[in-house]
Amino acid sequence: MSQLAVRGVSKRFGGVAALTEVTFSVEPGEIFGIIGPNGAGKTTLLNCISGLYDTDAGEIRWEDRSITGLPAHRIARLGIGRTFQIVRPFGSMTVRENAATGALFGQPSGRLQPRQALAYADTVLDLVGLAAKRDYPVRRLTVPDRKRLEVARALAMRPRLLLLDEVMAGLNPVEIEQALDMVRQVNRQGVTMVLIEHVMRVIVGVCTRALVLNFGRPLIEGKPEAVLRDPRVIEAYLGERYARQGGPDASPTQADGEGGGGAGQ
Amino acid sequence: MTDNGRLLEVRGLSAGYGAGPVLFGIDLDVAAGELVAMVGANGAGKSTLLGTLSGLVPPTAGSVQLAGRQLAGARPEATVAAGIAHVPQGRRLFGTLSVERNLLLGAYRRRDGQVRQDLRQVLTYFPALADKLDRNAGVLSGGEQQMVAIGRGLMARPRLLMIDEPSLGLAPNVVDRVMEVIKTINRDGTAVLLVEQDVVLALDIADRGYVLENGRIVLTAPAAELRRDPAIRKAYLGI
Repeated sequence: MSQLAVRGVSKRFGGVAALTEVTFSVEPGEIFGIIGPNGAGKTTLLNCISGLYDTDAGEIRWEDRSITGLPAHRIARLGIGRTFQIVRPFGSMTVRENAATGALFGQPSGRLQPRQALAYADTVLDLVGLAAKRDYPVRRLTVPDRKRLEVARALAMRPRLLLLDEVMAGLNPVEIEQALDMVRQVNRQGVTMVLIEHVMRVIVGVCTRALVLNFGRPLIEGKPEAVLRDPRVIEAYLGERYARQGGPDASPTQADGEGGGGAGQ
Repeated sequence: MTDNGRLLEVRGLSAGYGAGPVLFGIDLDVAAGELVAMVGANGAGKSTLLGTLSGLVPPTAGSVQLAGRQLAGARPEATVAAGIAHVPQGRRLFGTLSVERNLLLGAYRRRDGQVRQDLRQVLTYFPALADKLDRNAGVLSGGEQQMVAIGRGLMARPRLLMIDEPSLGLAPNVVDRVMEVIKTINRDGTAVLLVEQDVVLALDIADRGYVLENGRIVLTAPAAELRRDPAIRKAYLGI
């Protein structure tokens, strides 16, 4: 049985079909990648899985029960955690307090006592490599560390599935390698992952399989190396330079915040 | 223009925020027509440097000259008038204003009669924007938003265009298109100072690069040399 099964999910915004009959499934322990052009529906898909959006059609099953239409907090407590593209930590709180908010409210068993939440925050900060900075105010964190904190906040809810939305965005190639180590470390704790990235060395480096979305529809799904060689994927997404230089290590590219990223501020 | 062909000449520039200094005695030159890349880890001070040059962050010491004119400590509106345009990280568009209004805002200080002509020029760089002028900038794709942000910078008619992480959040093929246009803008005569996490891409299109570490310039060399430098490859390319 698949741990997560997305069956024929569609989502419209007014006249725009953001997702059309998207189907895929994720097995326990997998790191499943979702890639595709800006505006292809990747974040919308994560929003449907995590309950931020209702779907218009289709079904989402999690550990063999339907979670279609459940509110976001229920889905979180059922074991699906997520991060957001634009990180929004609580600016006046420390790193440790920020991580504790996830532990405090997101537990499957309901609320924790603050002391227990802070203790669990220490565990996840250790896992993401932020233990030494736990007493920093978050404004002192660099971009890579803010991304780590975003992962820590989600992990503090003890998810069995973690949805990561472009956590490698804005990192340079060396910082990406360090972040990949963190992803592997978390995965080894038994956390299944679904991640959106524009950084192909991430997809090839850690993903067991990848799904390409284009205009809200699945274009192809399979092993990362095969997917990235597919002419349709090169045409719609990777571009000729990628194909010419022949591989993910030839051109690591960066990412953060597609669509509304930064607008309206 | 100064007599040695330098457009931008920065000497001993230091700056910081309340908590402490971020930049320590930066020396930096950009020649007229040059494309210069600024490389460094997150937190090295790259964005602070751009902010200090455009007047968003007040310097604590040092000088900034553009074509011989002293700009250290000048306010943003004065640095724009002097010829520096800053395309910030994350685009920072006005999402509820139209694409055209966003572009025209780049020219809000100009009183010459050539604003419309420059708008047409921006649309030749970014033809994808031509039929989206009436749309709200917030509904565009990430790549289109980056094009509007660069176009808005160009509408100030800068001598130096500073661009902070244009590849952020963009699909690989869109990144390529944006980089091509930056190269074209530079070939058409505008000097460019480019901050970019994708070091390979940045050094690919740049004439020269600087390496910024912990608020200090530690190296400058032609981009081709930096691409081959084993220490740079290890520290920033991970290879």
